Amino acid sequence: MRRKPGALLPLEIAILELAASSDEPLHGFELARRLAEASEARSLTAHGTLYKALGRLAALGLLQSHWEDPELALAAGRPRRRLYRLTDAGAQRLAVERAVSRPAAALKPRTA
Amino acid sequence: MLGSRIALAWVRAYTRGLPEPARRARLDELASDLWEHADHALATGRREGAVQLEIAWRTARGAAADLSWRFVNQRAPAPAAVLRFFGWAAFVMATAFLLFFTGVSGAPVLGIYSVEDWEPGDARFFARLMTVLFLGLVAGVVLLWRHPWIGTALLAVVSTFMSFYFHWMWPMLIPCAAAVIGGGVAISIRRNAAGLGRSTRRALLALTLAALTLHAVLIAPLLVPGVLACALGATAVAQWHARRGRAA
Repeated sequence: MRRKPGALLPLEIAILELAASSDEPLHGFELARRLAEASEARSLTAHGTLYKALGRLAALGLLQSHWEDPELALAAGRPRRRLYRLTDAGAQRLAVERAVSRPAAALKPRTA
Repeated sequence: MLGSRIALAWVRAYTRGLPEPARRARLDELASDLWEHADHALATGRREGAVQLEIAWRTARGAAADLSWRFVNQRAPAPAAVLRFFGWAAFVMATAFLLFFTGVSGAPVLGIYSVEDWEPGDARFFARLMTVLFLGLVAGVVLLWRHPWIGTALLAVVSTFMSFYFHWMWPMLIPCAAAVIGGGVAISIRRNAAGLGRSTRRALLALTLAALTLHAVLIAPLLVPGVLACALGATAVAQWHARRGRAA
């Protein structure tokens, strides 16, 4: 089934949630690790799925990405990270998504 | 390190031919992810083998998304890329078929099997002829590497002869010959045939084009609708991918 243009997948909303909850910009692996923690999943999000979602969120202007200073990475002895931060548009969109999902959650039948 | 190697080999494969900034960004981002993954595993005391397996599994699960990302980011127009892929696939399959057909039919000469139910003279002649054709095809394919125009001309002569000699098999042999000659011409143009005189190159090109034209004329009633159908199908698939990519 084709997705509506501009509609967000649950993974993309979860990424926005994580970016919103963090004071620091996050890199791809850190996002994958936190996503797995949040959903109590045993395996991390696949590379292709994760980076495609990040690319799409950046293209929509909901996330902003930048490469960290190469000297910083060199000093730490690792490849430089691409860091993602929530934009104002991303925060607004997240608020809309939360507002949409809240009534839907309220309509769910109670089991206890 | 096997999982990381698989992941890096895969990212190099599916980013091949993409615009350099997009390719470089994806390679760097994945290299960083793999390093962080291994570093985190080391810090948490996980076994190296389990981590590499997990990395390979992450790569495999994301392969479809990677390909979809590639379709959105690729530089060449998608229909042209798809048609080029089908062209090379046709060349490989046609060459393999002709080699198989002549190789199996010429095998009695090498004593691999006998053809006792045939007249001995006919069987011997047929097997010898097929062996010559097989060797001609092999030589043509080998020559494509160093002397592509000579190789192409040889492939053109052999495949054209086969199309006429086995005229009752024309629906199979003429498309094969056209694909083999077309592929040979494409390889020759790409490799730019160094080391041959201008007149030799012209003569070989003329011979090849004559064979190709002959086939094209013979096969036109069958080939034109087929090519049009393939082109339309490939364009539809590429557009569907591009739309899906934009929507994603």
